[in-house]
Amino acid sequence: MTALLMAEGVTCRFGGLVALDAVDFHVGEGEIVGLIGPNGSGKSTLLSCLSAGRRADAGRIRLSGRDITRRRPSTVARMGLTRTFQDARVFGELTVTENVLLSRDWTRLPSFGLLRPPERAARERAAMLLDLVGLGGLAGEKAGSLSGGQQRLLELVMAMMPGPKVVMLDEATSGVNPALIAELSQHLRLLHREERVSFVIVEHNVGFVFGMADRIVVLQQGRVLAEGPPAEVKSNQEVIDAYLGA
Amino acid sequence: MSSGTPTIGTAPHQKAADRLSAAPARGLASSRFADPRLRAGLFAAGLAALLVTPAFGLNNSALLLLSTVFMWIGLTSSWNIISGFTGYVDFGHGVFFGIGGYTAGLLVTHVDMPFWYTVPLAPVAGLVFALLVGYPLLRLRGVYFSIAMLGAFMAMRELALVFRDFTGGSGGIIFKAVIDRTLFYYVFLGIAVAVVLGTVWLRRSQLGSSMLAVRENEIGAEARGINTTAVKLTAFCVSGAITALIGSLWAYQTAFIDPAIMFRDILLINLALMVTLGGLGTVWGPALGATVFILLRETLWGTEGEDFLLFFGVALIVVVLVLPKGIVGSLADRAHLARARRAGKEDGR
Repeated sequence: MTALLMAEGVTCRFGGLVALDAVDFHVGEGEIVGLIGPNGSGKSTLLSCLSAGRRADAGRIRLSGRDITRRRPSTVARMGLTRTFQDARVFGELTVTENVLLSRDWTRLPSFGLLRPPERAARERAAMLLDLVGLGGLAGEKAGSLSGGQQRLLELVMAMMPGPKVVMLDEATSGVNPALIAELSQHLRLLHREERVSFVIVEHNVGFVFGMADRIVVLQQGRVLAEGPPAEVKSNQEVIDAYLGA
Repeated sequence: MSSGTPTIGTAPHQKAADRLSAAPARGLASSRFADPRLRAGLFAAGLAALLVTPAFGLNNSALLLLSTVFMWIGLTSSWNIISGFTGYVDFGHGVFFGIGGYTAGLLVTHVDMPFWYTVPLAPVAGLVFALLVGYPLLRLRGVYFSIAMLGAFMAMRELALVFRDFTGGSGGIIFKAVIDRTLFYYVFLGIAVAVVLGTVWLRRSQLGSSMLAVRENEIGAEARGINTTAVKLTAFCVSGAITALIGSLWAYQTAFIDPAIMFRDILLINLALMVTLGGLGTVWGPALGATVFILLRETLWGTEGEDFLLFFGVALIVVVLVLPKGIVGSLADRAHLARARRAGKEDGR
């Protein structure tokens, strides 16, 4: 499998605390990678470094072979790496549709596109994605009026809107009811199949992530503790001791 | 990045896209008023009435009052672009007004340039200043940006005072007086119409939506591929350039400028009050706020004399308490809520 996203020796410090210590991480084309670990193990920090939200103190990150280590987050997003956040970052005062349209593929703007309303192709894609996750009926509502679970679905749609290569989901099931989690898995599988997008799923919901991922990476204290297929990681004694429990 | 072309069942979504296309532009009020043709018709009728108004023999003070309303509509609408759309509340925006006035004044006195030739140069000066100041200061957020801009405003006023050989200092600059109220009526009407229509267009554009995204969640906007630095800087430059243009025209109308006139604290307060009254971040709020504010002030001044400030203050407090998002913002919220309730009933929700 070709590595689409490749991070080598990524180190990130918060003052004296080493949040990530020379972490190597990669995501293949069309792969779903689960990233798990105890609280404070560096999962979200790794996501921030990969998406350029936080600048790595050392190491190199490449997307499709292009160095993105020192790019700004918007550039990385335009290059095809999008993400969701632990606290869904939707634009509350804007409608659901506007939220999705603002997450468009900005590299494919028609001439003077910024000065015009979104073109038909973008509107169609927004409508299609919203219908796909069952938010089509709420398209005209303000995003801030949606429930927490709906906002997470909306953020997923926003991350998918530009047709990215890699989507990173930061605790997508947190605060979402079990019925909606099952729905979310279905949506992710459908999007994965239809859009051929790679996913990085950061999760504490072990059942969800082991059910979704092709490969699991376990972080502990800023280092990779274990890595491999879900069944293998599940039976790894070090992972059981450090995170999964008996 | 991969294609933006939908891969999952495109065709059934075309109608949905049409249905949704109106959503971003949706604004205030009832469904009847939301009809764009009706709104366009009302706007055209109002504009036509304003165009013929001077022909009905209005006296100079009435023309001056209306010119003032138009000028403030331009100022508030331009301030709204940076403060309302992007959420970077600029408490020193009057600096652009002063820069516009002084650009015109200095070119007229030092270069002997006819005033009307300076008109296009004033917004350029505002734009350059916005670029120079905006690039470092727009890295600040919230109240820090507001205070930094207030500092820029005060610094420029001091510079205008200190460099008296160049600026005339507190002695100011005198223009050749042009006492033609009708001319300025049409000039400021033109500015107000252009800025308001520009704001309507901006709100419908993806650039305008990006500005709102910056206001709503800057980190989230950046993660969606929006270059927030460029968006903020664009908003600041456009806003500053328009204000500088208005400043130059006002200076010419007044025929005399000095630092105390061109860099007035009250301008900053009035901008914030008018836009808060009408609705910060809305399209029509600043224009409505400016109109209501000026007319209310004039009315109370006429009836209550020196006590008008007391009545004026109480009136503003009541409005802010009853309509916390301003007149337009609060009405739009109520309309939105009513629409959602109607939709809920129709869906049997």
